[in-house]
Amino acid sequence: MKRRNFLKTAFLGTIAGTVGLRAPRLMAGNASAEAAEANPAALPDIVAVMGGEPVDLYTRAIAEMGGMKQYVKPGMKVVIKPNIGWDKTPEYAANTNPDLIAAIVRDCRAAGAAEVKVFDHTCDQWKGCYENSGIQDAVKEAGGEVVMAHEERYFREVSLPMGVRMKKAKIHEAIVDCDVWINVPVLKNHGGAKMTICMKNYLGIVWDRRYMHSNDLQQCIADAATYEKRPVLNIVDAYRIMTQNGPKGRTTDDVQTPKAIFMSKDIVALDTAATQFFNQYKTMTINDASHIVLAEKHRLGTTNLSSLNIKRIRL
Amino acid sequence: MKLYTILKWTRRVLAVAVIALITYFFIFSSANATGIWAALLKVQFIPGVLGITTGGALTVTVILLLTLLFGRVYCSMLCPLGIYQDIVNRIAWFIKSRQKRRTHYSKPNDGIRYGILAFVTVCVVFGFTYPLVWLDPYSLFGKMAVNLGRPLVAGITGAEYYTWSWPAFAFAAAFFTFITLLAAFRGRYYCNTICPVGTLLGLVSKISMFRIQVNESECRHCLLCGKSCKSYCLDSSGIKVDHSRCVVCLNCIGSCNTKAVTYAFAWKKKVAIARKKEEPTAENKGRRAFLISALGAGVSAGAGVVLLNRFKGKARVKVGAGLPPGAGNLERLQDKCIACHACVAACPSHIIKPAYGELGWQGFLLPSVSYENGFCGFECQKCQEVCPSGALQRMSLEDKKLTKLGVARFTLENCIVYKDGTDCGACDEHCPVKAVAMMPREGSDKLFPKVTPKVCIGCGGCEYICPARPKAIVVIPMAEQRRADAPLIDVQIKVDIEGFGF
Repeated sequence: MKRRNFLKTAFLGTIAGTVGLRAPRLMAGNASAEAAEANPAALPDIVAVMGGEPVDLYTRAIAEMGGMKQYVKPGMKVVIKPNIGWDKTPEYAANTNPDLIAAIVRDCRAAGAAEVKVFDHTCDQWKGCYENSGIQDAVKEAGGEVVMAHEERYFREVSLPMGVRMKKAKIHEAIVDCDVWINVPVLKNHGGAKMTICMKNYLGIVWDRRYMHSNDLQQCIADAATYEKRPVLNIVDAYRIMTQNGPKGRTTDDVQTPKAIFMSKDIVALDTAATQFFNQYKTMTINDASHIVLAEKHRLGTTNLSSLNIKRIRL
Repeated sequence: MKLYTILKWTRRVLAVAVIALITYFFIFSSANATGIWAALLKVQFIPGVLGITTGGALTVTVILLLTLLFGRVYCSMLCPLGIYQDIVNRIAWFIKSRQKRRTHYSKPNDGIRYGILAFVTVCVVFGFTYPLVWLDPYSLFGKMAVNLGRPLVAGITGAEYYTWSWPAFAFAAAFFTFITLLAAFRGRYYCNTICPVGTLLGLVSKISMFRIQVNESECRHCLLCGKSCKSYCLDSSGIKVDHSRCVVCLNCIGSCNTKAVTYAFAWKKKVAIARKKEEPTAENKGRRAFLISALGAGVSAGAGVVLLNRFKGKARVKVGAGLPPGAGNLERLQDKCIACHACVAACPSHIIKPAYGELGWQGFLLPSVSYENGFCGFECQKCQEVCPSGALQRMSLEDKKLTKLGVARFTLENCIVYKDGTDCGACDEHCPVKAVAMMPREGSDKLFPKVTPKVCIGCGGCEYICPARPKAIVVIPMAEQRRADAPLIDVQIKVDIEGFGF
């Protein structure tokens, strides 16, 4: 009897220990499950809000999504990943809106986040991007921290077992080390990938974007999105969107101002919805931006929006 | 005595502050190199001379006036190479034995120094400034700081170092060794024998208002002052002060036990001195002939080089690398740039590198542009902001955005979209003027890059990011920067939409 008890305890202890050690990693994926448990009246799959200023749009949308506390627990290390790819000011819509990013940082702080880091592996020279996008100042003021991502030493290799063309990638250490991360792209057209929304935003957490461009860009984007630590929330900034000459853009002529925001945990569904939204300005399908379809094949989400609970709100 | 102590310490503090700020700028301040650091580069003598039409006149006038009033204070308090030599010399003083510390009066190398000055003057007057790349003290210091200091610091901090250039490193290392040894064992020998700025200012400081003077009635000819002189220009046995070599360090004053050495107003004595020298001796005659021949040699060497350059300059120039924005053309860059490498240090995208063969033999070490590590920032003018000589001409940002450094050339056979049949568009993504755009092509459902050369500004964004090997799109550099056509107008009607579309 004694021996059996001992073995039993040891066995259970091992399991508990393993789960315990892996807890932060599991939490990233499990946050949604916990939320559903906590709130039996199921939250919507997609929330879309239109007709307001960035902060108002965000405040309403996150409330509909159950509040930031659903996703960020006290003491967590949080990363927010906007698009800060270009040395452009906010009115060019080349980067995510700084007011929106500031609002998210504040909200994460209020939810008890131990730290909130913000970064992007920029295309233009990083300092110009961080400064002129307005994001560096906005984040600092909101109580977050802007971290650098312009050198390879900030990135760590991870394996992508589900990847088809990209089996491993160097991912920014802030993402690798965080408890949860929130993906906050801006909605733009793209000369190569056709659309740049949530999944295309992964190019900014990966070091070697040339590898992705030269090994079937669309497949590599879908492969990158298979990285085990998924964003707990995807937020598409469509306050200003870029409908031509994207993703860098040239003048404010490239910009439309629909004043909208979309949120979802399902990255494929949100990219699909945003593409259909974009299609109202310029013809575009998810078959053109085929990484969205390829990601569905990876079972990262669904492109079938009719199966989802979508909440559409006009302010 | 108290006054001299204060003066001497003022000199030391100012000198250390100047060299610290300049070194900091050259080594650390990539991407935030403006303000006081850039300002310190603008008060250097040779950059002032070369940029005489672009604000340098003020610098030159101020330095000449300062020299006329107080002697060669530029050499002791503003010139980073001069300050560096003082520091080396002082460190060596601590290491050396008491006996070895002693210096002594030595004759000036007038033949060499006036020969070099004549040579450089002829070259500069006729617009051939390349010798200054090798002789100007400020730019030599810049070359050392950038090509030795930056890699060293990068190595220590583990940061990546992008603008490595073997020839520039070799040059900097060789000169560093040379000047350090020279300063340790011969004091200000470089400044008083080779440096054309030192020689020129020396001519002025001979008649400066305040000078080091030895009071004959007080002097005991103990030679102590001469033993402390790092310019080797003071001889108290015959009471000789060579003011052309004195950099007013004031060391001699402190060494004198009888207070015979002073730094005082000297213009009232001028007449007496002039009279004394009127009798020509045989020695003087020989000296004069020697000087004249040295000057002649310098002038003719200068003329020869200038003519050679003019003759060669007529051939059509082809460059292997681009020029930084604002250089205008290769000839202008060669005429204005002394390769201080401030732009190399300041470029946040690390695209400016010292050239070794790309710009021809007279382009050795001049700044050249290549796109392995980055591309020219559309909104960036850092190189123009820091350039002290006006070689990289300051212009409005609007003008800079239309300054054509080269032109992109696309090779379809190398392109990912053509080779693999998959989407890419990296070049189009990076193009700030949409000179590269993704266009449909017959027989494919993919979009291919298409270049509009007239609009291209050669910033290198496309070349830098192109993932194909060999690159499918490269910038062909131009020896002459032109104005690109304004980007095509691309107006879009602003639309209000009703629904979400999903």
